Amino acid sequence: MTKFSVKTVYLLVAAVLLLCVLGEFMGVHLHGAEWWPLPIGYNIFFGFVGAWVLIILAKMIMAPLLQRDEDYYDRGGEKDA
Amino acid sequence: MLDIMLHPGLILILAGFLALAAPKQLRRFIMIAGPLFAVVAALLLPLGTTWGFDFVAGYHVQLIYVDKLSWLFTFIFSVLAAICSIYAAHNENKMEALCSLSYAGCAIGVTLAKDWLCFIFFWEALAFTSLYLVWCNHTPESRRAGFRYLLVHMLGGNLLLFGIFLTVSGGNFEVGNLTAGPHGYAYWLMLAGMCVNVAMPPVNAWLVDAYGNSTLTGGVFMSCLTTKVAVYALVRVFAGTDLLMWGGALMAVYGASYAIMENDMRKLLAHHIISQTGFMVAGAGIGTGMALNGATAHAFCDILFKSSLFMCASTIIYATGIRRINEISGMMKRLPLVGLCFFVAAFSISGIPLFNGFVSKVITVHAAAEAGNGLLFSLLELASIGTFLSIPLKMGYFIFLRSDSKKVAIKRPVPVNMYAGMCIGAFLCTLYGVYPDLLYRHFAFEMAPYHPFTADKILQTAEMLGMAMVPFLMYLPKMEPHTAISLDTDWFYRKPFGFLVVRCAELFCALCGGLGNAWNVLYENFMGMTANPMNILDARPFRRVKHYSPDNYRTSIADPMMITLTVLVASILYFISRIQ
Repeated sequence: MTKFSVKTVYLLVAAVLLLCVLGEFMGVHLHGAEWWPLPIGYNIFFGFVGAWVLIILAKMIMAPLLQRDEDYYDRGGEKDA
Repeated sequence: MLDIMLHPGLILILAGFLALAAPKQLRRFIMIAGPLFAVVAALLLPLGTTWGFDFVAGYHVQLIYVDKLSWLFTFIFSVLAAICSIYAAHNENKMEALCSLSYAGCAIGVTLAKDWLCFIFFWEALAFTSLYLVWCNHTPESRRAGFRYLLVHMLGGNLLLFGIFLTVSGGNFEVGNLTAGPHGYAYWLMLAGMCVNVAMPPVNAWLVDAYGNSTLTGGVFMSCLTTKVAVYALVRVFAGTDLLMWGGALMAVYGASYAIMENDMRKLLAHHIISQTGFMVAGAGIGTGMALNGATAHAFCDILFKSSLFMCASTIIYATGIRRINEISGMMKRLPLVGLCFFVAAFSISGIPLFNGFVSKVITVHAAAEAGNGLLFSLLELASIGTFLSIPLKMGYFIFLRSDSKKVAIKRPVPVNMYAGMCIGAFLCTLYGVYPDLLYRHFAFEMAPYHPFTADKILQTAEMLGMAMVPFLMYLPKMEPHTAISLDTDWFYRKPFGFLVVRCAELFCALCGGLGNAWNVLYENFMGMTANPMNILDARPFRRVKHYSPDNYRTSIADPMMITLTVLVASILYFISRIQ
């Protein structure tokens, strides 16, 4: 993706989020567990942290630990007779 | 009698056998007409229908029982069979036609079964019919994956069979909720058996292993049937079991995390089967009317969007011969209709408003919130973010939207029927997303009126998924997957257990060979000794003369006399000793 299009996507995301926050200020109450209203912008925070945690977990922690070459199982003698 | 003729499952199985016997052109017609008949039959099947017959020893097999829950699953399985059969109509493999239609028929057989015998019969048949869809790929890897699939499903099927045996022995013949107890061996065995089919960790790896190695058209059938049948069973039998709530949450996050690493298109989608099924299992575990309806609705919608996603991935593999994401690019320009259908299905699975995932997924998530379970609510929301990251963002960008740097060639044109299947799937995803009442009116459990298109739900989704794009863009260069496989729980039975089995086999082979040799030596010597008993009786060396004489082959009169006298003396001594 070119730098220009990345910047465009960032701007679009910012515009959508701004509209959402405006909506929250105008009285739309978002709900979490036990149906309690959440603080304004909580879902924005959760969206960022959730995605960041998943990417870090998958790409930085799980991938080095769990990823192997595609012939990993074949090397161990798992072959057809 | 009309009721049995309206059994959509039996119609599909019959269509499968007809397709097996029919010539090529007629087979295509049967493959499309059979499932369409099944859809009509499902629509005509009235609620409350029951039909059965007397089996052995007064046991009444109840083949058809239609309530709202079983009808909804029967209907969507019939629709799925119709879409997938249209998609697979170009396939010339007769056995695959038989197995795929029978597979869908068996799934319907499970949902309509009222008694345990009928239930377990179709459950086991489901595993065997789907197995061929893996083996039919005819690669060494698919053959091995098929055997692993068979072993895991034999384990799950037998656990369920033993559980059912114990339940029926206790006098409970009808399929019904067991959550209230008693929580004996039967309960746990049946729960474990169903958890195998629903692919709950640690018995989840069969799904990615088998679905990723199945045939292109068979994989579309498989993506929606085995796990959804198990979801139906959990909603029917184990609704309200707390263990399922956390098992479902684990599945949702586990599948989403693996999908972010995955490079193979169909395996990535298979990880998301585990993740989305996690929502349904969690809904079954919560057990409220809203959660159970959420689980049912999500199974219904998942069948539509997951089959569409599998169809898109299979079409790309069919056209290009490439299955790895890092080897492909620019598909939006080369296969624009596939790209359009993909994004409709991808937005659906992500739960974006006006697509069907939004009207179903949010029900379960909100049921968790209503139940006051903050951790479960957050885990399900996290899994939703994971889905958005790996399907519309990762697959969508790397396969369809990024510049055509890989210069992938379209090796063979996509048949019209494949496009038709994808378009019908994408259309239904949008239809149910825009008119959710088409689905909501068939809910089986009591719940307060639910409206998906409220400002809070739309804003919540927009904020969360909108912001989730930012880390994806931040880490964009790292998001492209590598050519690698991800170790899963199948490592335990493919590596250490496999090593143990091979070493045990070698040990037993060596032992067997050694014992065989020892026996052979013993036998040879004994045979030489006993080939001519005269050699033992007549072993006096001075009688062995070189020239021929018949006397050499006769024993002397002294030998039998000595034997007779010895026996006689021994007998007399024995009796004397007894008298004293």
